[in-house]
Amino acid sequence: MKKWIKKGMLVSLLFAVTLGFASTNNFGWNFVTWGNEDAREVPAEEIKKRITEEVVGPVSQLLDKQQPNLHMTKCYVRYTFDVYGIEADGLEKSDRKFYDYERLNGSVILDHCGSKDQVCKYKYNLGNSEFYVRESVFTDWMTIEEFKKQIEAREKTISE
Amino acid sequence: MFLAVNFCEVRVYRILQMRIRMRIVYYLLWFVVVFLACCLAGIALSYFDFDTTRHFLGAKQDMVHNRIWLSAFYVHLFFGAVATLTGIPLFFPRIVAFRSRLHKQLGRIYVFSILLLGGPTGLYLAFFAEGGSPATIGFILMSAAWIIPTYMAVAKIMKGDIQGHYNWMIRSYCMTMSGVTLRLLTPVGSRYIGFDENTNFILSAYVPWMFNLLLGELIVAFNRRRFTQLNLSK
Repeated sequence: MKKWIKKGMLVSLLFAVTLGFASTNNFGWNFVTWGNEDAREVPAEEIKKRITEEVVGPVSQLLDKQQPNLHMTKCYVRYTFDVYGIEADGLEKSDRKFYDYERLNGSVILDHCGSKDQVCKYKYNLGNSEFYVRESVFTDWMTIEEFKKQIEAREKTISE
Repeated sequence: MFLAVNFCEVRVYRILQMRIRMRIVYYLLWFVVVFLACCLAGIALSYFDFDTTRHFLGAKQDMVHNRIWLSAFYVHLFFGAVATLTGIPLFFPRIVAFRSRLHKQLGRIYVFSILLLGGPTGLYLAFFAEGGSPATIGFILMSAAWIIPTYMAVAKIMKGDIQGHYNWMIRSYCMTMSGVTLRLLTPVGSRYIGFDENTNFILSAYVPWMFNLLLGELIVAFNRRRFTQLNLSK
């Protein structure tokens, strides 16, 4: 039994170390790329475009409707975002790779004259372009329609 | 004469009282270990809803697409939980007698879980750990510190060295429990000490297993006297 354990253990360890170099590891060395043949890498430019159009777009529309005077300043006001804390402007330079069925998360940010405020957190599924938002940890994740309804209800309460 | 008898009685009473206190502390500590082990196993098994977007997997979205990595992750979790739970009764001869068939069967499950599955998958996962190459080196050492004492415990019992087996099993189980230490120390580092994310990841690859290795050595040293009193013929 002991010999069997010894052999089994050595085979498992060798297997583990070999596989450790079969995909890009923390040392940056890999001789092949196994296990992720199905995964299509999505370039950072595409990620930027998709999040801008599919997440930031609807959220900013909602906010513009709520506060139409937001852009009436002499300084620069824009909506931007980050993915896993990486700012949109630095996405291309980042080492982070994205794959087509990844579920990204980050924040939609309002850059108001250089002062940055988080509008909401988002979760975006690259596979089916589904996204959820939430204002803070005290609120649940919701779809953009639910978010819209919540803001409208809040406005109604304030006006009453 | 009367005074001498009385003095002896007081001494015996004090020794008994100390022994009872030691027993209470011993069982209390074991209660904490069992509770934490169950929590660890519970956390591990909670991932078996196969939702790859939550908790730790939510932060490893760059790896969840890799089928080898994901399989290794689940194997590591499952057999880590098996080792954590099967290890506990092996230390209690009143529950599972040392020389019983059940002790051997549970021991085999524990050893196989670590040497063939949990340990090697941990080693593989180390290559992709959060915190970069310093964390990878830490987790590789952690895997080695988990596998080696377990292997030594098997080697000792094969040679019939029961005390050696018992001591190495203590070290091995301490390393199994380093999963608990990791989960206890990570929030301490991030929340109470205020380490940044990367520093915390790197430290969590070194501190838990070093701490538990030291703890194992202390228990072995403390147990040396106690071991002679253990009835291994049970």
